[in-house]
Order: sequence, then structure tokens, then C-alpha cells
Amino acid sequence: MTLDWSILWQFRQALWSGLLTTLWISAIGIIGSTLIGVTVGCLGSLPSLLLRRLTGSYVELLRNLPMIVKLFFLYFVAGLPAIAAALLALSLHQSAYIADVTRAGIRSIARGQVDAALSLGHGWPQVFRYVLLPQVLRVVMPPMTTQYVAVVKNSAVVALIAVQDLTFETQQINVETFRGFEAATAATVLYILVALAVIGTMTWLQPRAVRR
Amino acid sequence: MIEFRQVHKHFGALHVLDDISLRVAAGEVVVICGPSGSGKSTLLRCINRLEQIDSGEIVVDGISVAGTRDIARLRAEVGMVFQRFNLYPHLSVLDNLTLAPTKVRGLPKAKAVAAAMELLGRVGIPEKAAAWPAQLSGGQQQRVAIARALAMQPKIMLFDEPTSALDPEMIQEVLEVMMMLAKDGMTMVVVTHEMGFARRVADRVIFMDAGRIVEQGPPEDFFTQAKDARTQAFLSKILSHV
Amino acid sequence: MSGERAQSVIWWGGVALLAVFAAERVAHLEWAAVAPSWWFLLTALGRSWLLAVIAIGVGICAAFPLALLRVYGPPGVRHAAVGVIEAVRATPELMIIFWVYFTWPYLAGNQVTAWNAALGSLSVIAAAYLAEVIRAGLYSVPAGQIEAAHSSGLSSYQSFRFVVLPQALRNMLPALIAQLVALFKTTSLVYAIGVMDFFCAVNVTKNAVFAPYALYLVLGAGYFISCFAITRVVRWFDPQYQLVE
Repeated sequence: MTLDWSILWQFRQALWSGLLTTLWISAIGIIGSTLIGVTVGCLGSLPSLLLRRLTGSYVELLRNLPMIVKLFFLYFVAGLPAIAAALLALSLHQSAYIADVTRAGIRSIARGQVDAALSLGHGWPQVFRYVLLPQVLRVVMPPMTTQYVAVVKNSAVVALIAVQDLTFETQQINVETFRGFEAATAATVLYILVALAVIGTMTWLQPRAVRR
Repeated sequence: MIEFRQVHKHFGALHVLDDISLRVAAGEVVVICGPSGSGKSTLLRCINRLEQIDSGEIVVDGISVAGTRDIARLRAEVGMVFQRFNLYPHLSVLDNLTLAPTKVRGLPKAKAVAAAMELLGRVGIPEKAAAWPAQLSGGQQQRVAIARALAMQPKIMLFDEPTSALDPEMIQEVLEVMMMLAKDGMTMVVVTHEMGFARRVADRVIFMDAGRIVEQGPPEDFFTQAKDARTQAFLSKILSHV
Repeated sequence: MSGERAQSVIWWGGVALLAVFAAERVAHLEWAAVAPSWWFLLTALGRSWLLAVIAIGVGICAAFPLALLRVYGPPGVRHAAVGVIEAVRATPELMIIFWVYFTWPYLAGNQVTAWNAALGSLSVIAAAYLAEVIRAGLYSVPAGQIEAAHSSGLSSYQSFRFVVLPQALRNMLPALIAQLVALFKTTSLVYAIGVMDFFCAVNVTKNAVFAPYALYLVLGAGYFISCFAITRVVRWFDPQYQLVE
């Protein structure tokens, strides 16, 4: 077996643009899923049976369907443009997990904190804003990191609807040169580097988010 | 100031409040005691709707607790102190005191800080303003919690076993703050087993068992001539170990 | 609480209304076009299950030694185990599937069938994730338990087997369920290398007959019911859960 790593240099442009696409799609996916997930998680933590059931169903439904099913539904059946389908599928998919992380984080805060805040006359929005979320932030940073790495990993699936991300470009190299091994190795290394960057960023943010 | 009319509440099959009727006048200090599970904490938590009642009515300062659309406003008028302090661990002592006045009442920060410093002086720990709750002893934390409730200038103060989680040597400093409040004419409902406090400060002592008010009266009568057997049994247990 | 009861009524009323509405819509979907393919789709779902079950079986067999090496292994071995586990966990599952598919010819010198590549990659994924679940489970048992076991005269093996492992298994259950469900969902990605799994079969059918909504309903239901079943079945083995329920 002979390997030809020069293929990577030859296709550096494609790999680079694929990496950039993966990065920005993941970034928007992270922001989108956090916004939706934290909102759903907070709503599910309110003392309302109806909200608990609604958010619980949302989480249960989304968690039991593969990301690729959502993606293909949005793209092939609902007819969204590829990029829109990719971003929406990514955000919706991970939002279910982030909602669960948020809910678990809120549940880990002692009930007395809510009692105290309510007894002082704070409404629920203020209870979340000033009392719960700052404390939840300390506990959820590590599980959130896992979720954000998962967004990056799940973003690879968008290659299957021809969004030209890192995985897609890897496929292209394989199709053009039959050098799938080299291309896949390079892409794997790049994905691991992105994951490390996400973990590094979150580790860097952790003390800054907690101190205030 | 506070009125219960035939209040009932269940936790599942458990009848935690069984036909409670009760009036607390302005400026009155009422101590509630009873065995654990007798419903005394629940009764307290119903006053500011931390617990909902099943039937009956509670009126606080002329407002129906169950009926009001703006429960936050009512809660702002009713301070509450908890067994486990419940200070916000992520905020400094000063921020614990100023959060509600600035966010609920919309007080300017400077005014809230000035009021908070004065309150910390009243509870005897002005030097702890910049400290974090975790750096304080239990007694100090509970005094901060009282100051935090007072910062909203409440008309009523509720105390839910405020000294039960404290080491014995710290109980006195908290009770002293509470006595000071009583002397200043605050309307207070106190769930506690501190019978010395009840004897000296309370206008009325209430004994609860199994969700019912079994007996009530001024402390001198209550301690010397309790009529109900359950009250006598409870008192003999609690007084003998003091 | 009376508020709870009212909300419960609203909830179930809403569910019933939605069910009636949905049933009416579902009844008018293109079932006649889909019906002839039912056996094809069902066997494909079976194939997805087969993939998942084999991968989990192989995965658990590999995960246990991996996890034990990571927790109890000598330093060099420990780091190697950490490296393998974390590298797999940081790489997209789709990438791993491609990787195995493309790498096999280089390592073995012959072509690999898509089915075997799918099995291989899913097993690798299962091994890495389950190793992490097992490790977390082992760590969740307080050190005092081992000390207590040792002090009562149990050997190291006995303390592991009779004290640490049973507690670890209990503690790892929620994470285990999550990983098994995740693995079943991951089987949908082998579509990318042309394995006729459930996802692939539905899309093949969709290209042959025009019934996108009916087919995607079948698709969603297939995965939802399968994943839900995994959750329930695993929980059923948990004695504590049975007590709570």
C-alpha cells in the first residue's frame, strides 16, 4: 500500500473552504441550539404541569429521531434550501439535549433559592435572570461543552445534502483521486482540532462566566 | 393583618392543613409550634403563596392571597426567613440585600446600598458587606437573611424555623435580632421550638398537630395550663430537654 | 393542587384534539402507494436493529477492557486508552464510517463490503462511547466502598466484582440508555456508504413512489418507537426503577 499525502496539499483550498463551512455552520448551530434549548429548559422548569408536559414532549420527540431524519425532512420533504435545512436541523436536534442539560442544572439548584427569591417579590423572569441562571451557569458549562462538540460532529451530516463542509470536500477528494484514506485522515484530524478548540474555549470561558 | 378562613390543604392523601382559621393582628407576634409534619411550615408558606391552598381563604393586608393577580406585590410586603438561610451563593452579602429592592421596587442602586448598609448595622455585621455567604458562619448568614427580607420594608415577617439549622452557640445572636424586630412593632409569625423566645416575645403561642390548631393562648397560660393532652405531651418533651 | 388538575385536563384535551386532527390528516396520506413496500421497509428496520445489536454486543466486549485499562491500567497503557477513546468521541460518526470504509482496503489489502464496514465502524463507535459510560460508572462509586470491602477481608477482585461493579452498573444506567439510543440513531448514517438500512430503504422507496409525507411518517415512527423501546427495555431491568414506578 502506498500513501500519497501530497494529495492534501494539492486540495488544500478545498479542505480549507470545507473547514470554514463546518466552522460557521457549527457556530450558528451552537448559538441556535443554545437559544432554543435554554428557553425550553427554563419553561420546563416552571411550576406548570402544562409547560412541563409540552417541553417534555418536545425533548422526547426530538431526542428519539436521528439528526439525518430531521435534515432530510426539512430539505427533501419541506423543501427548505440546503443551508437553511442544515442550520435548522442542527439547532433543533441539539436543542433537545441542551434543554435537558438546562433542566437538570436548574433542578440541581436548591429549591430554597427559588422560595427566597419569590418571597422577596421577584417574578419568574427575574428569578431566572438573577438567581437561577447565574448559578446554573456554574454547573452546566462542562455538559454544555459536550453538547457543543456534538454540534460540530453532527454538522458532518449536512454533507449528505451537498452542503460543502469538511466531510463533503473529503468525499470530493475521494471521488476525484480515490485517495479516501488520506483525505479522511486529514478531515478527522481537523475535526479533532475543532473539538479541542471548542473544549479550550469553554474551559477558558468557565472562570470568566462564573466570576461576576 | 393576616386572616385564615377555614383553610384546607392536601399533599396527596395527607391532610396537611385541616380547617385552619386564624387571625393575626398588626404588630402581633405569633409563635407556632408542634411536632414535625404537623403542618406548621405549610401554614407559613401559604401566607405568601409558596404553597397553594385547596379551599378556604387567606387574606393578607386586605388582599386575598389566592385571588390576587399580582402575587409578587403581596410577597414584596411579606418578608420570609428560612431554616436554611437560602442566601444567594453567587452574590456578595451586599448584593443579596440590594437585588430585590433594585429589581422589584426599582430603587436606585445608591439608595438600596445605603439602606442595606444600615440594615447590616442593625443586625450587627456591617463589616461583612463585601463577604460571600459561604464565608459567613450560620448565625451570620441567618442575620443577613433577615436583613435581606427587611430590605424590602415588609409589613409582615415570617420565620420558618430560623434557628433549627444553627449550631447552639449561634442561636442567641439570631434570636436577639428577632426580639429587636418584635420590640419595633413588626407583625411576626414564627415557627420555632425556641420556647424561651416564645415566653419572652410572643403575644400568642399556637400548637399544631396533624394539620389542626389544637390549642392557642398567651404564653403564660399556654406553658402553665395547657388543656389538650397532645400539647402537654409535646411541651413536656420539648421543655424537659432545655 | 387544583391548578394542576385543570392543566392536566387541558393537556389531555389538547392531546386528544391533536390525535383526532392528526388521524384525519394521516388517513388521507398516500398509503396506497406505500403499502406494497411494507415488507421491504420492515426488513430494513430489522436490518437497522441487527446493526445496532451486533455493534452494541461487540462494543460492550471491547468497552470493558478499554474502560478498565483507562481506570486501572499502567500509565502508558492508560494514556493510550484515553487517546483512542477521546479521538473516536471527538470525530463525527459519519467520518468514522467513511474512515473505516476507506481504510479497510489499505489495512487488509482487499475490498470491504459496505455492510461489514458499517458493522465495524458502529462497533468502534459503540466501544468508545460505552467505555466512557463504564468509566464514569466506575468513578461514581466512592473510594470508601473499596476501603470498606478490603477491610472486611474481600480480595481486590472480590471487592470489584461484588461491591464496585454492582453499584457502578446501577449508576451508569441513565448514560447507558442515552448511548444505546444514540447508537441506534447513528445506524441511520450507514446510508451514506450504501447499506440498505431503514433510513436508506425509506429514501429508496420515496424515490420510487410519490408519497413523501407518508414515508417520512413511517420513518419517524420507526425510529421513535425503536428508541423509545430501548429506553423502556433497559429501564425495565433496573429494580429500583420498578420500585419507583
